[in-house]
Amino acid sequence: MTDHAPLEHLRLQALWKSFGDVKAVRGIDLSVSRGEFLTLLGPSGCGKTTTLRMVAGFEPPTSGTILLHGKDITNEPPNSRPINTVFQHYALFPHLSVEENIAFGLRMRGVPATERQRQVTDALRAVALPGFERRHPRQLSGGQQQRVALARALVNRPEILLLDEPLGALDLKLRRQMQLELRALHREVGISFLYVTHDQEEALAMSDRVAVMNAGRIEQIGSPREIYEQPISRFVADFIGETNLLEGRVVRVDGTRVQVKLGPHILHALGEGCVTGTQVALSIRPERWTLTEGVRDADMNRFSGRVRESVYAGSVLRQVVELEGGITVVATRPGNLAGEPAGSAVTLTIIPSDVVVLPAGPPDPPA
Amino acid sequence: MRADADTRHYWPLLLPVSLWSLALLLAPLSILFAISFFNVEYVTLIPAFTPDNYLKVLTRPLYSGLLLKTFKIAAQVSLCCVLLAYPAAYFLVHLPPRLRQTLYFMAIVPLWISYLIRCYAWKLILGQNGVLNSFLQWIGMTQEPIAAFLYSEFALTLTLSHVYVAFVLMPVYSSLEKIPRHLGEAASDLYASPWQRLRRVTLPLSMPGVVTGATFVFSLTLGDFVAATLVGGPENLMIGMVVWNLFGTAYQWPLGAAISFLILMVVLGLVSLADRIGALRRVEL
Repeated sequence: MTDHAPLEHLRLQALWKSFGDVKAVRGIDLSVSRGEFLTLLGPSGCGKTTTLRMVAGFEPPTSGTILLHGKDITNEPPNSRPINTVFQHYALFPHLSVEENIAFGLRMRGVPATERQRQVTDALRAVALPGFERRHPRQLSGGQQQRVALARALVNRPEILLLDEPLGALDLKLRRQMQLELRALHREVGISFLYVTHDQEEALAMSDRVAVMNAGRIEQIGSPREIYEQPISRFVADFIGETNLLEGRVVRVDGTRVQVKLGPHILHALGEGCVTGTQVALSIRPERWTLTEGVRDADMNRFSGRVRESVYAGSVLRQVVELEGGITVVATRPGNLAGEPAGSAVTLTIIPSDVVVLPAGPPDPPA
Repeated sequence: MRADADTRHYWPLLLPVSLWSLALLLAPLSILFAISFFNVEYVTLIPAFTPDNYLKVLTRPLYSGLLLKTFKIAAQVSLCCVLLAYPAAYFLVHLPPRLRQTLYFMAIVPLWISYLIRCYAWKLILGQNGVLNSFLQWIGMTQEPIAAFLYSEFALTLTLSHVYVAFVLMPVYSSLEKIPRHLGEAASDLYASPWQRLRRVTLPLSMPGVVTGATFVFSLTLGDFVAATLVGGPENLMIGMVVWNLFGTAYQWPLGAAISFLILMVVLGLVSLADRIGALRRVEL
């Protein structure tokens, strides 16, 4: 490796994949930087796993190219790509011990036995499973199998590590713990991670960047904060976290200040490229509402409404509020607050920068 | 606890089949076992308790030699069947599902054709004026028909391999089919070439199927005497033929029974060994 190695590591260009009549991936352009943790996030069937499988070499793309360090690896078989995979169900070899599983890649590449031994021991220590060499996969818990799968891939020091929903089979508590461990491990080894998940919380918690996929395309790519705070489409706003999506019409544009008519209300929002008279969708995160009078400010949006339902969910209190004009929104508050009982009148306020203006209607990807 | 309760529950259902086995399998075998210790005088079975028959089998070269030869042929046939069936099964599981099922069915269909007919078919192919000789003469490779094709150990091994190959194909196919696709992918992902993937992952994981199939064929071949008569010729007697004679024209039931029991012991020993190997190799897929 030279000091001037290009920052761009992996590049996917106009990648398409069809299975018969089904177009699973419709033109993916993506680049992963060296040492980056990039997550492909989307609902099942959005093409994220197919994309990963094409990078691994298990599926040939219908068209498009895959470049690693600028070298075209589109037609390389999986065994000659310096890329390793952590499979969804681990895919540990059931007839081999933990040690033999981890040493498999080294052995296939002809690493001498003593060196293999040393690296396997190191790898097991790295995933906090020292002393498990002689066990067989069936004698391990799900979490332990997960770690062995990680060690088996990382011991080869791949250029890129692909992870296909690696935490999907674990229970919530273990999943949270493994998320932190994976992140720490990523920082430690400095290998680029390309991670696939349908769990938006996981994606936000772990990634440097998230690519939100929908119907075979990347809908938006950015840091977890950008994806959450500034979604660019209804799909992204709806898929990432919880949100209130409201339909309205732009009545006034003044620079980035936008006024949107929403039933009997006028809502102040910040947005770019809005045109007076067009239909738009507004996304408001439930936790951004304030159920107080708030600061007296001309731009502050203020609605009076009535609490329909109040649901205590532990960490948060979720309140369904019906505004004047029959618009129903969800607002959450910290769970330690008592909250108003159902039926009581409340005032909801929200600052304009917390109202995200989006193109109206669900995006229709052209076939 | 639960298992006990279940067994008790199913006893009435198991009764008919248990009686059936008792009457038609266990009883005759017991009688045969008793006879293997009898004597014969002229044409009368004399109830006795003598190990002579077993000693005779093990010490007389005619019998012991024939037993060994039969084991050798059974081993050859098992090996041939594995070598033929494994690549075929491997090929089948990698086909698209519909084609796979059609071809699998076609490979299994000969099992429905009478065993005798399949043996005769080989007699027709390998005989003096058979298909193979006619063909060789027609293309000019030989002038005279070759007699050595038929009535040889080669002919016997070939015929039995053909007759029993499906018994290896089926278990190997099903054990290959059970190997999850992602294990092969994991092997490739970890730098295994297609050959290494076969040797390090696919082959070990399909071993239970190979062992089952080979045990099947070995046991079936041990007891065969029809193919030996039809294509093996007088030079290639198998032990089954001898047993058949001893129970027939020779009227030496005790000796025949002793040979039968020795073979039965070998087969049972083999089956339990295979089962143990299978159990060791068996892994959760």
